[in-house]
Order: sequence, then structure tokens, then C-alpha cells
Amino acid sequence: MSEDQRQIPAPPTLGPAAEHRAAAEQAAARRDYDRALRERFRAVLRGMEQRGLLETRRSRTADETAADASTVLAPEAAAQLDPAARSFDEVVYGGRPATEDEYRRLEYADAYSAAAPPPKPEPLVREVAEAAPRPRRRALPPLPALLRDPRFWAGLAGLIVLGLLLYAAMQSCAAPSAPPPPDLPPPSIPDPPDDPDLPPIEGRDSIFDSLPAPLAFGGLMLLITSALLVWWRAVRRGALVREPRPVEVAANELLAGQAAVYRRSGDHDHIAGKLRAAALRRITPGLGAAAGAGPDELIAAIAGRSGLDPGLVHAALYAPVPDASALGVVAAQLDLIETEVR
Amino acid sequence: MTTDMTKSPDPSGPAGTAPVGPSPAGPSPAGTAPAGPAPTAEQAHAALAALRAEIGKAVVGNDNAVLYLVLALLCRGHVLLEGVPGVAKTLLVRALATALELEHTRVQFTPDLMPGDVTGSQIYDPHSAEFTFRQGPVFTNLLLADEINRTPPKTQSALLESMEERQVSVDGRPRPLPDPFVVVATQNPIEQEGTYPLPEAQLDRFLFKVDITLPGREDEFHILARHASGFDPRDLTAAGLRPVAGAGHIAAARAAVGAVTVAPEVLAYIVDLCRATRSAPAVRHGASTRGATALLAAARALAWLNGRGFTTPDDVKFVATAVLRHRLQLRPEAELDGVTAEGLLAGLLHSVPVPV
Repeated sequence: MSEDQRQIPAPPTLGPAAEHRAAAEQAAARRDYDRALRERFRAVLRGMEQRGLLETRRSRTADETAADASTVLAPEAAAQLDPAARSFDEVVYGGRPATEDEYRRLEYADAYSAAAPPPKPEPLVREVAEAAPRPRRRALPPLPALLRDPRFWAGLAGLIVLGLLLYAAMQSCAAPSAPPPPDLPPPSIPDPPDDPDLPPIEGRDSIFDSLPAPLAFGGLMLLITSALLVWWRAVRRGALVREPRPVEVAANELLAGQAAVYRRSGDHDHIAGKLRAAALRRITPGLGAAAGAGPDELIAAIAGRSGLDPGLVHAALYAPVPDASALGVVAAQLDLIETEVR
Repeated sequence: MTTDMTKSPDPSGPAGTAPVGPSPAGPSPAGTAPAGPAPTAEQAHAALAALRAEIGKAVVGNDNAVLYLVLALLCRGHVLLEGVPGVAKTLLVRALATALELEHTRVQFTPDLMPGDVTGSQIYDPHSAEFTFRQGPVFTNLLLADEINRTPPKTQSALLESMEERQVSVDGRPRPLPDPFVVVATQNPIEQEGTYPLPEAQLDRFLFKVDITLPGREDEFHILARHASGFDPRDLTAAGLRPVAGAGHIAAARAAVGAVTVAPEVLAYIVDLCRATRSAPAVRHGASTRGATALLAAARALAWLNGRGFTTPDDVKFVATAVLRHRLQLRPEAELDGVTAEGLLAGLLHSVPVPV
């Protein structure tokens, strides 16, 4: 079989432990020990997940499964999984045929897949589709060919320059200005009457009156042209677009974001409260304490179950948390309590 | 411009594939083949193990960095070492060069270095009245590009063709580089003053990006103890370093790595991992297909170094961060939120399903 003709494996998924256990037994009955070993290892993994011994996640390799199991199982039980993980790697990834002896050893070590509690729903892993890039601006109608021709603009600029030069030449060649008027006394302007009903006297000092007529006309035309150009070509900001909700954020990024916000807030008591509430939510059902039990009953129940000092339990659950180092201590204590209670 | 070319004591030439003979400085390491026949895969394996031990005579800690350098030799890859000044980046590469029977050259990248200073240039020979090509320092087996981000991108890009095509084109004529050819570049973190970040195209050509961190208390104590007992980092030969592997060992090892099998499930896992980097919300540009092939090559080489003839997802996971971290471009808003490529990859390795 050539490289290109290899069948692309389907995305890895696992079912309940009982299914894999049954598949392993059927394969072993057919003496297909490659399949049997793989299914039995899956059954062990799923069995430990369904029993709550291991966190449910699909990103765990065979070696990591054995390593994680060694943290929650008795040493003699965990030691049986190390060679099983190595055999699994050699058989599944290395292509070595499995032996019956390897399978029977793993079958003997499998104390987890039988009568395992039903699996919890697994976290959904979805591939985020690449969003098509949005157009940055509306499509504008193409300019007429004449306006796209740089020679047109060069000619227009040339004409304007020529016109200005001609205007300047005509101004310089015009008839000499009239001689200055004789010094006449300024006309006497009568004082405005004090009658408030009369309209005020308006002077002729507008800036537009002092501009040459062609310049004022040209400026007006330029203003109108600019307004038309803006209306034609400028980007039009439409109404605000609502972002589709809910926004999909990967769980690990959400967790990292929340952690960053908590860290930035510096509210150690609040963070400790969250950790304590979560820890109590996880361990209270197994304590046998009555619902709504007070702090003293909880401390007594936890200390009795775990063998820890009641003072430590009180400090972990109810002591004030002034700074980050104290928060770290509280987190470690809660972790210890959870481990011991379980 | 400073171009410091430190030639190895015995420049046997880039094509020299003669195995390393017994050293007069002491007994031959297990993997050193006698002069004559080409080394076997077992001898190459032992020689590379001895290489790691030899580097350890000069560099304390940083075992992962040494491992990645060896993996790069096996994968025909290049390595980018990043760390603040004074964490033995250059010493590490010099120790590697000393422990390898290969020609090596060091180029100090400075702001005024020109591309021709790296690749070589045409010069006029008055005797023959012709232009002849003068090879630059890139024509070597092991090129130490020291502080590569001290030079502008124009000069950094001079290495693009050399690193990928393993040749230098001057006046339209390609000139092949010797084999093996490995670029080991060091750079300061880009937040440092007077540095130019490497272009993405060049970053993608590095097989690994390895962070060299400050040593722990115990390692730093051992470093000072060595210096107190007379260790001189400028004279590695006096420290007992000697060549333990050569081009023949590397060629034999590469041939053996080529025989390491990869199950379709592991290939699919690599594909899934790289695709996950592309679809992560915090990532603007994920790993390229070159990144996926680099991940495959590195995982195979690691499997062979671990004495296996097949690749497992554990191998992929081990090298994934070093292979992919410099190939991810994060979105600016994610960077403002403190998301790092390493943290993102850790999350992906924790969530992408493994074929079991």
C-alpha cells in the first residue's frame, strides 16, 4: 500500500468501559490479541475515568495513563499498568503482534472496567471554523476611464497653472491704477441716532467682498465639488452590527482569562472563597454530614474522615486570607484535604 | 561589523565523512568508530549519547537544550536559542562544535552586517582579471549565528535560502552548502533594546526554538564550583572536551531515523494538533504544514534516540512546544490578556484527543 493510499484514521473517540471490555473479550475469543490488548487497555482507561479515579480527558497517552494511575492507585496495582502501557505502544504504534500472555496480564490487572458507573458526558471538542474575512468597506463604483487617466489630471493641473499665469500676466499688464485721490477730509458720518427702533448701520467689511470675484467663485465651485466627491466616494459608516452571541471561547482560554482577572483583582478573600466553596461542593457529599451543617460540624467531619488536625482544617476553610502567599497555602491545604478525604 | 570565524582544529572539509578515530586524550567513547568502515547505527547512537555527556563537561544544566541540538542534527533542522544575556547560549553552541568533528563558524550579527558578509560575494581578482566568488562564513557545517536579532531583517533574510534550500545563489548560480549544515542562532528576548524581531518566514525555518533559562540554585552552585576550580569557558579543550562524533555518525544516525516507523494514528494526531493551533481563538496564524512535517521529523528522531523503532504520541507531545511555539502568531488582544504561545500549546496538548 503506498503512502497516499493509507486510510485516514477517524478522530479518536472512546465509548463506555463495558463496551471496550466486551470487545476485548470477543477479540480474545477469536485469538486476535492485537485488538484484544488495545480494547482492554481502553476499558481500563475508561473504567478508571468512570470511577472518578482519573479526570475524563481524551488527550492522555498510554504512558500518561499509567503515570496518572500511579498517583491514585496502590503501588502494586499501578505497577501492573506500566508494562501494559509499553506493550500497548509497541503493539498499536509499533506494529508488533501482541501475545496472549500480555493480554492475560492486562486482563488480570483490569479491576476497573467491570461494573463501572455510567460515563459522564464528555467535554465537547469542536473545531472552530475559519471565519471568512469581512469586506473592509463597501464596493465603490469604478471611476470613469477618463478620471483614471493620469494624463487627464496632468492636463487639468496644467490648465489651472496656465490660467493662473495668464491672470497674473493680465494683472501686471493692466492700465496703471488711477492717481491717489486728493487729501480730502473724511466724510462726516452723522452719529447714529439713539433710537433703538432703527436698524444698526452695517459696514462693508466682509472678507468675501474683499476677495477677487474669480477666486470667490472658484472657491464656491471647489466647495460644491468636494461635497459631491465626499458623498460619492467616502466610506459610509452604517449602523452598529451586533456580534453573534454567545461568543465561543475555548474552555482553557476562559479558565486562563478568569484566573488572570482574579489575579489582577488582588481580592484574595474572594478567590479563597471560590476555592473553598468548590472544595466543599466536591467533598461534602462523601462526608455524611447533614445538609446545612455548620462550620463546626463540617470541620469535625473532615478531620474525622481525613485524620487531619482540626486547626488546619479550620485555617483552610475559614481563616482570613490577607495576601497571595496565604492564598497559595490555603489552596495547598484544600488540595490536601480533598486528597485525604477521598 | 564583526565576523569572527572560529575554525575547528581539523577542518577536514564539509564533505569529510571519515569517522572519528580514537582520541589521544583518553579512551574512545563507546560510539566512536575506528577509522575505516562507516559507523553503524548502534555506534552512531552511542556517539550521540557521548556527545551529550561531552557537552555536559562545559555546560551545567540545560539538558533539554542539548537534546534539541542533537535532534536538530538528526533532522537536518536549525535551532534558535533564546535567552537573556549571560545564560551560556554561546557556550552551549561552542561546546557542541568542539564535541563534533565538524567545521564550524561563528558570525557575530551586528547592526551593520550586510547579506554578502554572510553568504559571500564576488570579488575582482587582479591576477586573473576576473570576478571570483569568495565564500562567506555560511559555507560550513555548523554555523553559530550569534545574537541574530541584533542585525536588521535584510541581513537576517540572507540565511533564508541557506537554511531551507541548503544552497547560496549568487549571480543566479546556486552553490550548494556542505552536509551537514546546521544553523544554531542565539537571540535575546525581543523586548531587549536594539533588537529586530525575526521575520515569520525565517522563524518558520527553525526546527526548534529553545528557551535558555537561568539555572536553578543547585546548577548555579555547580557552575560557580567549576569556575572556582579553574574552568575557563574560553578554552574548552582544557576543560576536557574532545570530538566524539563526526559527519559519519550523523549520516548513520539520519539513515536509522529514516527507518523509524510512524503509525497512521500518530500522523493523524500530528495533523489534529497542528489544525488545533490554526483554529484556536487566540491565534491569528497557526502552525504551517512545514511545522507539521517538522513535528513529525522531530518526533521520529526522538523515538530513535529513545531506542525505539516506532513513534508514539508521547514523542510528539514532548517536542511539540519547541517545534511549534515560534510558529504561532497570537492575536494582539490575546497577547494583551497575557496569553503566551507556550500556555496555548499546553492547553492544546491537554485537549487534543490522543489515539489510544
